Amino acid sequence: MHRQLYRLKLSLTLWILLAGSLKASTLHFQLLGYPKVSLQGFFKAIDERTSIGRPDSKILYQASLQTSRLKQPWFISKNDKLLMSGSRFKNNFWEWLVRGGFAVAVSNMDEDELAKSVAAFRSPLTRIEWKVLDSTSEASKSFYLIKSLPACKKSYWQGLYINQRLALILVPYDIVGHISRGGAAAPCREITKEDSVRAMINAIVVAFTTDYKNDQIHLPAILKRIRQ
Amino acid sequence: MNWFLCAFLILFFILTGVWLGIYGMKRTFLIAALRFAWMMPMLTLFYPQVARHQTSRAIDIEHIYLLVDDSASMQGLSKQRSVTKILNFINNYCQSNSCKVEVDSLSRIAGSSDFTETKLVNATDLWVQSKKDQHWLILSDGGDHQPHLCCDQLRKAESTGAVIGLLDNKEKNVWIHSVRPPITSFDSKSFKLHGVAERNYSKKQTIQIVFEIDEIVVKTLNLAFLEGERSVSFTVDIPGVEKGKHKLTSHILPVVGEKQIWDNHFYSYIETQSNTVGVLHLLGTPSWDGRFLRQYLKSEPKYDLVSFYILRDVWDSHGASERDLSLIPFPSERLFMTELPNFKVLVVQNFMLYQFLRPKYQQKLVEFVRNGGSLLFIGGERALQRGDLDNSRLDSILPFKDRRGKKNNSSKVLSLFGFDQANTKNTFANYQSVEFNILPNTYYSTSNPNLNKMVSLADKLYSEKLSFSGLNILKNFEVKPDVDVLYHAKPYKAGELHPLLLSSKVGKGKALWLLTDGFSQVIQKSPAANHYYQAFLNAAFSWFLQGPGGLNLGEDSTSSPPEKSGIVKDLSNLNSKLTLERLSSALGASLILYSESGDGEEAVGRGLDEITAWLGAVFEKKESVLDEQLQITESKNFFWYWSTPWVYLSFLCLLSEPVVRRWFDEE
Repeated sequence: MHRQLYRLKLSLTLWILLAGSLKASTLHFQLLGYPKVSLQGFFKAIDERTSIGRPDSKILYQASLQTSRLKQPWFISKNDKLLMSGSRFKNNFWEWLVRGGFAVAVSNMDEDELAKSVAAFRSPLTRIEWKVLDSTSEASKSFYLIKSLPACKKSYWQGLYINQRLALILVPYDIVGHISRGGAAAPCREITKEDSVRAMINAIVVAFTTDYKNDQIHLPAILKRIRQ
Repeated sequence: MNWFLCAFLILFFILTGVWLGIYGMKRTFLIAALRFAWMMPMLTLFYPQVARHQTSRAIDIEHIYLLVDDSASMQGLSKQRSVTKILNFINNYCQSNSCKVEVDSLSRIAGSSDFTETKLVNATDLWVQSKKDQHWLILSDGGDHQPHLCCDQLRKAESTGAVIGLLDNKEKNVWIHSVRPPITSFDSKSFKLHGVAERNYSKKQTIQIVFEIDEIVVKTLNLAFLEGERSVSFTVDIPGVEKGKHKLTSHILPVVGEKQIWDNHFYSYIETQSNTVGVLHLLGTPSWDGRFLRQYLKSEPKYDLVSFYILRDVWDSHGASERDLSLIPFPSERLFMTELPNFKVLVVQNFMLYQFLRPKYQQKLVEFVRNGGSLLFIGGERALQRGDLDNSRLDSILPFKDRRGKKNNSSKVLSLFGFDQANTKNTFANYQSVEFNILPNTYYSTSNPNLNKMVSLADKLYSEKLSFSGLNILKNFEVKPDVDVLYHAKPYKAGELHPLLLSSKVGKGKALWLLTDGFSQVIQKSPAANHYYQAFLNAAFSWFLQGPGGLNLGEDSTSSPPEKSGIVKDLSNLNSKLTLERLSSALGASLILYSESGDGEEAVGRGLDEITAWLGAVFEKKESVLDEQLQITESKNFFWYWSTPWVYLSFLCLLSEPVVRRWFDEE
């Protein structure tokens, strides 16, 4: 008994030591249209709260829309004209999204603008859909259970689904700025920094796992089917 | 003038004088003309046709071997004219460049007397391989009786060659470029078929495509080409069919004036299943590699995917109550003790097995593979921890073994927690974020087409110089003897090769071990490289699921025809141009497309310039051979008149002369 307890203690100690060595992450932040921001606190939160590990401390900044940045699997943009910009970037950006890329952008586009932004890409082979990201969406439950993603002056989080995969999230306020600065999220004073951190962690988990959480609803049916 | 000819003419004039006395002027003229005409074959004997042959006297004459496709589709007048023109052109080129043309025919090589059956692919392989260190050309229109077999089995030529493809652009032609059915469909449920039809003319027209399953028409489609449109995509709903493999024929009805109809057919197949394939995906930590694998698995309706991702480690503090989290405990007991046998494939990706799976679950995993399940193991930072080998049931299915033999008990205790006495690194396959290239194992050959596909894919990745990062490097471990290494990784900095992709058979099951978490990076490299990832996973899952009741998920639906399809003789199911492209690519040869650009004898063939350029590049350009270096020989043909149509006129005149003379007697 005493020996087993000793083993348990030893294992716990070694686990803690081991944890640090396993926490390097492949997550790199790319910010488009942002000035230099400090996200070290947020990186620490990702490291401590999830198994993703600490993101690379070197943040890639880019002032304008450039196709060279599309070689990475994701980025966060302050520029909401991603799908309305010069045709060269727009087409490359779309192709990148279809191929599996993922982006988060700050935007307050209304429904007409959203519909117009993807009109040129509609085809019989690609299913395109804008959806308000409500409590049933994967962004609301990928890690934290969030009743409603932080809205701002009746503007809600929007998601662009390409063939049923969430490829682009439009956030109605500057979420990266808010996480970096803290305090209240201008102009939406009711949103706390913890709200933004949780929502952003959920968005990152969605980037890595897509609609993984939605699968669990279908789990009993899938297991029943494969048993047959 | 020939003396015999003079004597003949003198006799002829004397005879004519005699006839003048007997028959009078008009009749004599007529009879003399007839006599002259029917004696022409004899007269021409005095004027033989002389052919001059020039051959180079240069000592270093190089040979160029030319294989001419003489199948049924090549027998048309325009194709024959093109063949003659190309042969003359190459002959002329060789006369002034010290080379000699050796012509062979496909029918002779293939040993077939049946000219409706073109064994283009089989025959060319044998022929090309026999031309070691020689230059060769293949002249064909690309029609083959088994084009779906083209050209995976072809060996790369060791010598320089080119394929000259004859395209008939003067005739109206419509063809099916591609048809892509889903890899599988489900019992009695309709499925969508995507395809592309093409044509070589511009006029506005509507064509009709007929779709048949097992020779029964199931759908027709009217497809409109607008003015100037050469290619139109189509999507059609095909009604569901019963479980099993079915031949799917797409057939464009010939348009008015279309003569080349053998490329109007396209054969593919559809595999219908009663149920889906269960795939269990375990991911150690959210990652891009996991995202793209999930994206692949979710995009295929044939997979019923159950995923479990480790979103939080035991040491994480999430800063919220459990009720605020959407996390559920990893259901190891239910999954491994009850549900595991119902899955066909288990994907273990960047996963610390010994941390989450107790020995009894690990034993179930081993049993799952031994009993016929398939395992796709993907590396990463959390994969292949020391504990996964020491004190683990997995030891028996792992593809490597410790060079240093079994560990002692004290090291086992430490290694259980991820520590190794000899090496403080906690993984036995040390994970490093190094940049590397993927190299195919060139010594590896297998009769399994799916494993071969994976090897050839690595060839492409290497030739396109695509780099990857993140590698599990095996140190002090060696690959077990019954395991095949399909890929190696070659790090940029250190030149040493490391095993990257290994395949093994364990009991009735199969396993693939990919020792990197960076393979999905290929998706982001370029739009063109995107499909390599899907092709790799298609080949991997095809290998897992092949066998009785298994699937073939090859990317090209025509590559594996259904057993019942029956090979349709000389009706290529691929467009000729596509076959030519595949053929030349498989042989590692250049492709020169040749077509007549206009009507009439004056037409200049397009492609002759390319042939000249190819010949110029292959043969060392020499100064034009001087006249004295040319050996000129002559051959005479005395009977040339007999091969002209005029001989019939002569024969008619021979019969007519007695009639004219008798008619005169009666008067």
